[in-house]
Amino acid sequence: MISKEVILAASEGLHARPAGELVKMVKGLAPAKVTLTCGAKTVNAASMLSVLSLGLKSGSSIVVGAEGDNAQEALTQVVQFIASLS
Amino acid sequence: MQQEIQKFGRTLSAMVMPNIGAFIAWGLITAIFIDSGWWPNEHIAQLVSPMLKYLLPLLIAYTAGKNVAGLRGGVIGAVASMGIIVGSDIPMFMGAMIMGPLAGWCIKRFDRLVEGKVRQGFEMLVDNFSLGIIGMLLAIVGYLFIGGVVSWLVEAASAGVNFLLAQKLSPLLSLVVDPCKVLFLNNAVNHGIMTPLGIEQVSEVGQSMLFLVDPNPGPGLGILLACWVFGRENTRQSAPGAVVIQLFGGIHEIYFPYVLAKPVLLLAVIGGNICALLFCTLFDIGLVAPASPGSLISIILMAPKGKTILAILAVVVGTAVSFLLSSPMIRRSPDFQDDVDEEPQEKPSTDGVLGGVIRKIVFSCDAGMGSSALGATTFRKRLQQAGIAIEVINTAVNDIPSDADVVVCQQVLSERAAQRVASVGGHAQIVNIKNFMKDAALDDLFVQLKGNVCSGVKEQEEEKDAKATPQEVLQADGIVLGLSSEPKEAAIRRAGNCLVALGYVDDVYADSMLEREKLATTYMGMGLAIPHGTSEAKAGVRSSGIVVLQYPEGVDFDGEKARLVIGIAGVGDSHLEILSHIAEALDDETVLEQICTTNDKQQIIDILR
Repeated sequence: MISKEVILAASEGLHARPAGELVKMVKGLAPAKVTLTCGAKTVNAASMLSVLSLGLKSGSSIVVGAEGDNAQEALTQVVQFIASLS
Repeated sequence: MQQEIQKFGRTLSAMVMPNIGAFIAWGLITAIFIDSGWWPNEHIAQLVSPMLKYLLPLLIAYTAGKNVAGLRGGVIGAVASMGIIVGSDIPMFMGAMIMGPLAGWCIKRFDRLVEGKVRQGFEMLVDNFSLGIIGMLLAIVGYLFIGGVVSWLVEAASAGVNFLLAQKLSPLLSLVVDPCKVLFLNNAVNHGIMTPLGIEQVSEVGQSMLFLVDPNPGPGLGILLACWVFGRENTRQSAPGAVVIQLFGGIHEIYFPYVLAKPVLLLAVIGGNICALLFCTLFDIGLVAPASPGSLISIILMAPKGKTILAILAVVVGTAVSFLLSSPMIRRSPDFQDDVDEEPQEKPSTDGVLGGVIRKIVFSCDAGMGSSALGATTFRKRLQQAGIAIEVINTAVNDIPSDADVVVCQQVLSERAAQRVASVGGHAQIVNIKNFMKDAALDDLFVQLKGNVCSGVKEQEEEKDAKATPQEVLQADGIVLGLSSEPKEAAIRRAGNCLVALGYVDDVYADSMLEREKLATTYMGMGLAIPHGTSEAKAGVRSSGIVVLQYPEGVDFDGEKARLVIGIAGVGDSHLEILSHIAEALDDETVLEQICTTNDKQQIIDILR
C-alpha cells in the first residue's frame, strides 16, 4: 500500500459533483484499490456514499492510499485530481 | 329524463332506506315468532301486527316529513299519517309516503307565511300550536278522505302485482328491474316500490316473492364468476374481491361497471333473474321482509321457516344461469375490462391537477350506504397507511356537504353530484371513477394527495402570512412515503416544492435544483439521489434542511433507479455536513433498505438525525 497526503483547496469542500467525478475516476482505475483517509476515518474511494460521509471541508488534509496493480498510476491521478479542485 | 326518474326514485327510497333496520326487526320477529315461524311464541308474536300497522308506516311518514321540512316536518308527518292509518284496514305504506311529505309541505308553507310576523316571545307558542292544529286537521282529513283513496290505490296496485304473480308472470318484472338497477335506479325501485308492495303481501300470505326480485345476488354473481374464470388480467384481478362483496356484502353496485363496460351482459343478468324468479314461482318461495342489503346472509335470515334451502337455491339458480349466459360473452372478449380500467390517464404534474388544500374527501353513491361506504373505507385505509391525515366520508349524492373538497362518484352520477355541489355553494371537485375499489382515477388522486401534503402545508402557511423558519433539519412533514414513480424532473421539483413549503428555502433555490441536475446528476448509486441547488443559489437557503421522498418503485435517473430522493438545502458549509451525515447513515445496505421500504416516518427521522 502506497500513500500520499494532499490538501483540499476547494473552497466548497468535496461536495457532490467533484465527489462524483472522483468516484468515477477511481472506478476507472481498477484493478487498483484506492482509499481516502481523513483524520481517523478511512473509506473506500470507489463508493460515493463513503466518500461523501467523510464530509471533506475546504482545507482538509487527505491521505490517499492505493494498492494492487497500477497502484502508483492510480495514486498519482487521484492526488492530482484532488489538488486541482478549486 | 333519467335524471328526473333518478330524482323521484331517490325521494321515494329516501323515505324508506333510513328505516330499513326497523323493517328487518319486524321481519325477524315475524320470521321467528309467528305460528309458522322458527320458534313460535304467541306473546312476542303480538308485536307483529301493531308494528306493521303503526310503527313502520309512522317511521316512513316521519322520515318523509323530515326530508321535506326537518324535524318539524317529521313530527307533523307522523301525526297526519295516524289519520290514514287508523282510517284504513291495510298497512298504509303508500299512504305514509304521501301524507308524510304532504304534511311536511304544509308546515313548511305555514312557517314561511308567518316568518318575521310573530311577536317576540310568542315563537314557541306559535310553533307548537301551529304544528298541533295543522297536524290535527291533516289527521282528520286523512282519516275521513285520504285513507279511502289510498286504500283503493294500493289495492289496485296489489291486485296488479297479484295478477302477475298468479299468472306466473312475475319473472317478467326482471325485464324492468334489472336495467333500472345498472343505471343506479335500484334503490328507487326496490325500496320505493317493491318493499311497500311486498310488505302488503307478507301481511296477507306470510311471504312475498317481490323481496327476491332485486336483492337476489345470484345474477350479478354469475357475471362476476364468469369474469373471474374467463376474464384476463384486469378483469380477473378485481373479480374475487367483487365476488365476496356481491355475495356476502350484498352491494350489487360492484357489478354495474362490468355490465356498463359490456352492455350485452345485461341479458345474462336478466336471464339469470328470470330463471331465479321462475324457480321461486314454481316452488312458492318468498321472503318475510326486505333483504337489505342484497346479500346471501340477509336472504337466509329473511326466508320463511322451511324455505331457507329453497331461498338459497333461488340464489344458486340465478347464479348458474347468469354464469352460463355470460361465459361465452366474456370468453369472446376477455379483455373488455381493459377498456374500462385503462383509459389513458395523464400522470399528474406536481403542481397539482387538483388545486388547493384538500381536507375532506366525500365518496358518493345513490343511497350513501353501500358502494360509497365501501369506497370510503378502502381509500381511508390507503391514506392512513401512507400517513396522510385527510377526512374521508361517504354520503348519498344528494347529501354531499358544502365543505367537501373532493367528491368521488361513478360517472353515471357525476352530473347529479355537480348539481348538488353547486346548490349548496360548495367548491368540491368531482372525480369520476368506474370501480370503487380499484381505479386509475383513485390512484391518481392518491398521488396528488401525497404530493399535496407538502404544498398543503405551504398553503396554510401562506394563509397565516408569515413563514416560520423551521428549527429541525428533518421533520415528519418533510417525509413523503410510498410515492408512485414519476420522471426525475418531477421528483426533483417535488423535493423542491417540499423544501419551499416547509420554509427551508426560497423558490429560487427550488428552481436551481433542476439546474444543478443538468450540470451533473445527483444520483449517488445504491438507489439514492440527493438533488440540491447550485452554489449560486445558496443565498436562497433560509435554514438548513432536508426532505425525504420514498419511491418504492424507483425514479429513473438516466438509467439508474433511485428509491430515495433526498432534497438537500444547506446554509453555508452545513451543506457538506448534511451530505456527509446522510452518506454515513446510509452507507449500510440494511439501513438503506429499511428507509426505502418502511411505513414509519419516525424510523426515518431516527436513522437520519
